[in-house]
Amino acid sequence: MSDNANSWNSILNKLREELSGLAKFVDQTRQGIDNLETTVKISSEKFPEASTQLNAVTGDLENAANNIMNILEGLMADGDTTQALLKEFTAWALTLKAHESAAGAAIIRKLEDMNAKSKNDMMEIFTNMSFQDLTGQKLKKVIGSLAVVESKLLELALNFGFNGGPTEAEKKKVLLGELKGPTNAMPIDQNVVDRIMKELGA
Amino acid sequence: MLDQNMKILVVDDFSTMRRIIKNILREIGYNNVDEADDGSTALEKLRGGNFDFVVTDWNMPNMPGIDLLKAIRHDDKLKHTPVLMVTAEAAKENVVTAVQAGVNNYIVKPFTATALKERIDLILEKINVQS
Repeated sequence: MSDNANSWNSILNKLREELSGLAKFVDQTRQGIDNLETTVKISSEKFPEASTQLNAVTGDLENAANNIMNILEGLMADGDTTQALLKEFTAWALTLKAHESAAGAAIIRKLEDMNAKSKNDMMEIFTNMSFQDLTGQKLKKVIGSLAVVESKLLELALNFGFNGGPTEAEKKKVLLGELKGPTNAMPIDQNVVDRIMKELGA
Repeated sequence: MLDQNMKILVVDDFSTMRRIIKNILREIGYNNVDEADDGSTALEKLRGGNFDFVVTDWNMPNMPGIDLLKAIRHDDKLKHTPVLMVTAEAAKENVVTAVQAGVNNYIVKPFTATALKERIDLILEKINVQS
């Protein structure tokens, strides 16, 4: 074989090796895209489901909070009635003989104190029901974060043209930018708020 | 001069929160309370009725509390209405924005009945001193 033919053989072998490497790379990439397609498909099904579930949790919490508050309002109204009845008892106790009147008044005072304490405790439970609002707002932010990820996945599916990817409505959602993310501001407590208010002269 | 008979509008998109605030207000002696579930409904009510005080949340659909506050301050008839913001938006920049927009005071959720009463009293005291 001539030197010229050897040289061509060597070039062709090198080219064959490089093409084979390129084919492997293309195949691996295609497999990667296939996996990505599966991931995107599963995720675009799961994220809306998670958002729905979280919305349902918010609704359940609100219902439970309202039920508890119905009971609390009833108990607080009973407390007001009890207070009015105790006042009547006080007036009645004054009509008794001195020693009986004093004993009666002492018992009524004790009952009034107990009633006042119960009312305060119920008010505290009532104010603590704001957990529903706070958890609800936090859940809204989680739902917002899910919506951002969902939006990115839809964009990905849209760009890669995956089959069974986003529906027309979902594409519209992405284009209209309806999916908004959460805010990331650092929370502060009431003392800091009061200080800022003072500093700003409000 | 404002007193315990003053008409208060509670604005919050969460019905439970409106209920909590209404009950606390009743407990501390304010019985004339109405409610709205977002800023735009609140603004309509404010323009239609003689409200003396507004307690509003920040995060609400349609019109958030900060926009309601700005709308109140830009309305000739409503601009002097005291506004107390009761919100979970407890970030420094939110407080500064609210103050710049003309909020009278700001409470971070969760709060106690005492905290709410203190802020209302403080606002009313300042208004009485100014008038």
